[in-house]
Amino acid sequence: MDFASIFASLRRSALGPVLIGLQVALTLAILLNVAGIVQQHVQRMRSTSGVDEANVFTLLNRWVGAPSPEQARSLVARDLAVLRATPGVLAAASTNGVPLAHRGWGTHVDTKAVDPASQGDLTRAQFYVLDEQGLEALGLHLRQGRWFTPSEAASPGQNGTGLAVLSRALADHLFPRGDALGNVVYTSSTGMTVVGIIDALQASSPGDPDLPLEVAQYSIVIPGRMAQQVLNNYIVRTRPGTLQAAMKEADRRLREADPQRVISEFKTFGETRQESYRANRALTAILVTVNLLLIVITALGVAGLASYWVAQRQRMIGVRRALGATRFDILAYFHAENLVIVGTGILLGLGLAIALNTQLVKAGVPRIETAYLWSGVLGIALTGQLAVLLPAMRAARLPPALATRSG
Amino acid sequence: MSGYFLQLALQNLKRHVWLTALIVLAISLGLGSSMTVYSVLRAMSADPIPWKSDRLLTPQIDNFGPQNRRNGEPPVMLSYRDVQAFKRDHRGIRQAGMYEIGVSVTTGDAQAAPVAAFGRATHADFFAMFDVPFLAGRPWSAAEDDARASVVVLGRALAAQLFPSGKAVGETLRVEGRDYRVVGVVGDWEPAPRFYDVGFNGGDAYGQPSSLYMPFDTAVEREIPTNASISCLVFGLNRAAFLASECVWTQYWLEVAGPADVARIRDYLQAYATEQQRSGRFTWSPVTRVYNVREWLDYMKVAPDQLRVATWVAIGFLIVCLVNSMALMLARSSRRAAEYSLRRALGASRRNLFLQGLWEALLVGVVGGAVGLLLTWAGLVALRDLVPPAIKSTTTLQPAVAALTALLSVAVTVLAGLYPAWRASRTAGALRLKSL
Repeated sequence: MDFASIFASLRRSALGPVLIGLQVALTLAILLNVAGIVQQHVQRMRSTSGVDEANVFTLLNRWVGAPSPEQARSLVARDLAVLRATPGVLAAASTNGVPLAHRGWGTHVDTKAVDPASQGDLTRAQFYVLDEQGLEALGLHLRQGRWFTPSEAASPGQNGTGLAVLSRALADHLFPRGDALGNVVYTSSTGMTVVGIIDALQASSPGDPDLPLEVAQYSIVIPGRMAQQVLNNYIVRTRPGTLQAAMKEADRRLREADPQRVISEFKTFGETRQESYRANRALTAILVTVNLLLIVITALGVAGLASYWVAQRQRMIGVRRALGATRFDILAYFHAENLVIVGTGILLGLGLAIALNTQLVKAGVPRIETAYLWSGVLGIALTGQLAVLLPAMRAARLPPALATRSG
Repeated sequence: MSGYFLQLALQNLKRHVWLTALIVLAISLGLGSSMTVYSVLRAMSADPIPWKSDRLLTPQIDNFGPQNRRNGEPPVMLSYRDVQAFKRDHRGIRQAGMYEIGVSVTTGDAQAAPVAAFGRATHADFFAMFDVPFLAGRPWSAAEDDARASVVVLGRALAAQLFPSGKAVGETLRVEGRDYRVVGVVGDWEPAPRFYDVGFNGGDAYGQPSSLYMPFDTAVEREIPTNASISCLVFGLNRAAFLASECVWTQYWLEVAGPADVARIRDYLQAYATEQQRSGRFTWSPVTRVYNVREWLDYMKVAPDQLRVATWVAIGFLIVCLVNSMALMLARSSRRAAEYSLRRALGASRRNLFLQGLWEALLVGVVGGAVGLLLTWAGLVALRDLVPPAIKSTTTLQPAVAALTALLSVAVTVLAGLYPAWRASRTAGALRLKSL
């Protein structure tokens, strides 16, 4: 390819190619930085909650009047009996928090007793209190060990019986050697023996960009029959295909058992997931749309400028054709010219992207991954080549006779 | 003369209709997307109480200790004991402790199903401090605070729902099984973001508006729990131990006379913390913080950092679109070199050609701006279901944003058109004529 003549003709009409190169550089810099953000949000939205989402619904019950702690316990026990007797229901449990629902308790966990005055990093974890049906009600998968027995769950008080079940992520984090089962974990000074490990159980706000994705999988469960005086979360799991019917019937039966109550947050787990990730979805939608438009505009700009150059250089093309250049030579000429302009833009864009990234990392933008770097470079180069294809083909079709015209 | 320029400009746009359409498309897409994202950012980072946001302060104290600091900062809520102490020390011209409550409400009608009401337990100063408008009645008094009176203030909607007859003040309703007298009804007051309680991680900044207010100490005494988060180092405390514990679950705000008093509050808070350390409550030297409304919203990242990044991405896109338009405008004008030569030869001055170029740019700018406004509006409609409900009303095409869009559009196209216009005006008279 005759790159010398390409450079010669580029020098003559410098500003246009410079602007297109600049545009390509900016496009690449933006794309590379945004790809990581989008990927992070998609990863969050796809992360497992550990819950059997298709068959679970939850609700928040509120008593009228303030029952005593003893009354509350018997009221919750009655409600759970009502729910468990509802047709289609596999299991029901009361809980202090619901994964993804922004309702729950956070805690710090360590492998030794925690002294609040000491410095150092503690592990943040979601803290769940569940009874013997909790495993079934959420549809969690037990990986190792066992779940709580009815007698362990029945002992009152939120300190439980000194037993705990950990999510696999938390178990692996606290005990990297894989010996979590049978070991003791602490929240403040309270020690608990690990009796079981579940595959996964997510925190109540895994969509929060400040919460590292792996930390959102750190959960500790202690046995207990959760019964608060005013507010109580119920989790219900139904047989596949009966969710809607069971929800309707459960609502009716609960109100029949005691009309003096307010039921809110009455949602399928699918709805909870939708709402939980609303902000992530909004941001992803904005970023993906803007970046698609960015690629389209850049491609159109390249195509528009190329077709203008073809029109401007009709005579030159004619002369080349008359002097023996084949159609393919003309096609190749424009593609090569495009490669020079876009390639320069890409080089500039790479530098810009990395410079921008080092700044943006402070604002929580992830580092650019090498895989993205290459696919971005390749994608933009290919887009440029595609954009120039039509104008170049038009140029290749020009007859050699044009050489005889002035212009 | 400008009529003539306009006519010529229109003619030229028609002649290069595809190229012109491409330029308009680039400008309007760039403006449309950047202004859409900017509108959302603007709504989310709005100052909800601009007339006194620098005089409303919230204190933070490090009662969890160094192990449990958030990036070296104290917890974002306060313990009940600290709120009681701040209230007793009374260092602002107004002050109120507060926490979110969710309660069931019934009226005398035994048949009616109870209604869930979300609201706030707070001190009397809350209303005057935040300039809450009253439709009827009055706030409760400081004396009623101290007496733990059974009084409530209702939001407009809840008052209308419970008392369809229209008169709520003076009526009695049952909250959690106890009687309360309605002393006031507040009008539509829904600051967005809800600065005084943005939740544990800023996630509740657009939470539900309060529909019921009751005195802080009344609510605490009757064990009405918080409806929001509690952060504790120890779980399973009984009520008395919980109130005396370091568990954080309340907020505290105070109003000072002027920004100059902020330092005084800072000193007070540090002295208070030091005193707590001296008395043995803390075995560490506590970090204390005092934020005003804007600082607080910034610190709590109510407008998420990532939204800021998205705004920069959209502005980057706008720049790309402008560079693109400039390249295309340049292409368009140099393609017409022959025409310019002809006009020069026929006696048009350089100034005339320059002005003509500018007029064309202006025309593109106006059309691009109009389409850009349309796209901004469409973008905001598309984002409707994705923004928090509380800012739906402000996430519309605001006049200021519309004006900015129009101005930007014209300014950038004229700027982008300057060089092509200048180059066009440099065309030598007869040089290019032969190529016609």
